[in-house]
This record gives sequence, C-alpha cells and structure tokens, in this order.
Amino acid sequence: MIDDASIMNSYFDNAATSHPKPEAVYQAVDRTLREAGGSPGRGGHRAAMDAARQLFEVREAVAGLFKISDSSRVVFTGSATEALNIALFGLLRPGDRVVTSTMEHNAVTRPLRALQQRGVEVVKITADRRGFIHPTDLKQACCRLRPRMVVLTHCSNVTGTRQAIEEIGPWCRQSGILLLVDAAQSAGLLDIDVESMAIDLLAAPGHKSLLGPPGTGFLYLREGLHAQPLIYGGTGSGSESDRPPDELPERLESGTANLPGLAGLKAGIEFVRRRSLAAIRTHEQNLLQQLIDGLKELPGLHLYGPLNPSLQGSVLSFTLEGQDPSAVGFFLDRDFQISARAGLHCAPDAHRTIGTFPHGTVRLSPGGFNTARDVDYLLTAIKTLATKI
Amino acid sequence: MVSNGDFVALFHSIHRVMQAEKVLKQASAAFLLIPAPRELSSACGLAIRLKAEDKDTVGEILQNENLLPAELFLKEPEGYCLVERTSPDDAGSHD
Repeated sequence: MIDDASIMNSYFDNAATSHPKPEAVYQAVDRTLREAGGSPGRGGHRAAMDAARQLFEVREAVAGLFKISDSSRVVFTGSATEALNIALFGLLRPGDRVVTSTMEHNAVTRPLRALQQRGVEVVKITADRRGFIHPTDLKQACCRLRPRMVVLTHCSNVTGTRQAIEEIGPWCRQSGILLLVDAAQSAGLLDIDVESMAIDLLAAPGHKSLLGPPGTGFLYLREGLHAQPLIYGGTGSGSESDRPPDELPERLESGTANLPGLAGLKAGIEFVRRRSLAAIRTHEQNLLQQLIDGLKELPGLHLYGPLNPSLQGSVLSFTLEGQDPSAVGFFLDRDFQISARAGLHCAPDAHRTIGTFPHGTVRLSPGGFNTARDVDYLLTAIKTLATKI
Repeated sequence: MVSNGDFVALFHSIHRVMQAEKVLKQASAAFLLIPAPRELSSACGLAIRLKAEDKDTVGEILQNENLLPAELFLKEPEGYCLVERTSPDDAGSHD
C-alpha cells in the first residue's frame, strides 16, 4: 500500500456510474421515499397530485438543462439503454435504413442487430484509430444511402472520443435524416442544446454525469415524432381505452414512475447547474490531462483515444504490454483499492476500431469528486504495477 | 366540487395539467385542481375547475402559454355540456 485509500476517492469508474453522489441527491431520494407517498397521475388525492407536481418539476429541470422548449417531450426511462430502445424500436420499420458508427455501445449495437433481423438495414461508418467519425465520411455515406436515421454516441465509453454532433446534427436536419444521439458519456459534462445541435432524439442516463441514482434516464423526442411504445400499460390517462394515449410523455411512460430516483436526478441536475458544466468540465479535463501526462512516458504502456481532454469525455483507456487488462484491473482493486473497469466495456466494435479486440483495455474515468491527489495515487499504483507484473 | 354554472377543463395529459397549474398559479388566477368528474371519462384523471367569472381570464392565460385545454365543459343541472374543444394543432400538444 502506498497510501491509505480509505481517506481518498479511489473510484475511477464514473463512466459506468458516478460515485459518490452529491449529499442533496441522497437526501432527495430519502425525503421523497418517506414523504411523497403518492403515485404521480394516479388519483386525485393530494399525495398523488403532489407526486405529479414533483415529477413535472423533474421534467422541467431536464428540459432546462438541454434547452428543450417543451418538457412534455422528455420521457423518463430506467436507463439510457431503455431510452435508446424506445427510440429505435419505436420509430424504425422494416425497409428503413440506419447509419451508425463502429464506436457505439451495445445499447445501440444490439437493438440495431435485432432490428436488422426484422428488415432494417444497418450501415456502420468506421471511425479512425482515435475513435473519430469524420463528418465527411458520414455525410458521403448518407448521400449514397439516404438513411431514415443516423445514430451516434456523443462520446465513446471506451476512448472518450467526442463526435462532432454540432456539425452532423444541422446537416442531418437539412437532409431530412433523423439524428439519435446517445449522450451516455456527455450528458452533464458537455453543453448539449437540442435546438442548435438539431438533435431529434436524445438518450441519456440520469446516474452518470447528471449525478442522479441508478434506475433513471430519459429520452427526448422532437415534436412531431410519434414513437410506438416499448411497454404498454397504465398511464393514469385515457383509462377507458385499451390503447396507449397519443400524448407525450404519458404515451411512453406506462407503469409507476420511479419518483424517488427522479427526485434524486433533479437534485443532481441542480448540483451540476450550481457548479456549472464549464467548471465541472475544466476540473475533469485537468484530471484527464494529469493522467495522460503521467502515463504517456511509461514504457510498455499504451494509451488510446484522442489524448486531448478538449476532444474527449472523461474516459481514458490503456493497456500494459503483455498483460491481460483484466489482471491489471484486478491488481488495481486488490492491492490499491482502486475501482477501474477492464475488458470490452460493452463496446466490441469500438475495440475492433482501436485495435484492442478481444482483450479490451483498462478504462479510467475520473469524476467530479476525484481530486488531483486521487489521480496522483492512481498514477503511482499504475507505475508500481507496470514495473512489478 | 363542481356546482351548476362552473366550467371543467380537461387536458388529456397529466403533464399538461401540471403545466397549466404552474402557469395559473404564477398568474395568481382563481382555479381549483380536482379529480376529473366520472362522467367525463376521457380525461387524464385530473381536471381544472373554473368559476364562470374566471373563465375568460384563465382562458387568456392558457392561450398565451399555448396550453388550452383539450375540452371545456359547462356543468348544468342535467349534466355536463361540451362548450369548447381544442384541436391538437391549436393546443400545441400533438406529436
């Protein structure tokens, strides 16, 4: 042991889920579970009405952060994965064509694979070795293929590589192509404006950089997009009918809402807004730069991705020559109590793209609660392992 | 809850009711959030009750916010009478 990890934050897996959460998030979940007993939209008694009001306020908070003018277009889900599934299965039909990339998470790749079997054509644009999709490549493919939808991850969960959504979005809109953005690694870190970036569909988790609890996420659908539900059931509205209502958000939100979780998400968003996205970004970019500087000269250690914090999210992947990433992850945990993810990170295509398939990488993803001191500790641990194993 | 001569506004979406409530509260308008009367079963479960004298003021506030109710009913001794229906395009809530 180099240091007492218990007094440090040695959690470096914020790309999987952020930890810890702001104190206000824990309190909001606890308070809502104890005090807001009703189910939103179910019943006219005060507990149900208060719950409906609370849910409305969470929706407004999400809409505000992403510059969504009509909060009824924000549909809450249990995860970004569910949001992506609603967007893909809810809108794509046999005969439709989709253009996507080789940097996608399985939350995109697997639904698309299933849709392929139902007659949807899927074309993947190959990213470069640093994980970038060149907008020209994408535009050329779209001109040739005339897809109904483009699906892109904003920031890779393997390399952090940030795609040029601000350029691709307006071009897609002009060309009459729907754009679905997977913001799993960017929501709560990068500025996302669905209007100026011309994003038609935005899927995001509540529990990563938005600092809410697991079990929260959302899908934004631009006005005019009428998706088929993935889940059918009670919505508290139009109850005389055996069909789902046409109105959003109810149409896509059957079943009881996870109000305690969503109240936590609202507290997370408020924390992020108070601290400001720019301040959070600067902090995490500094930590990332410290990591890159500390690791790039180590013999036998390979880094992947842009290696430029301004071009990526808070994710850095590395491998140690001759070492199984899983073993490196294991030793970081066992000997240093450091939480880092090793393997394929649910994105096999991305590893094929950067040349790390099938063994994968060790992924480090610092968060807003990590400090320069935590990163020093992490660097010392990796250096020790690099010389020892 | 609803007396003869009162109006009842239905929105077909709990979210829209919440939006309307927020806007009306901010404008200090007179209204009451109520469970939708059983006879008006196409509702979302919640409704807004208006006294006749407040109907026009409230209507104007909601129109300015693009939040007109989907249906507006007048309570009469023999039952509810539909007095206004807003098409989804006008209500701005279509998708």
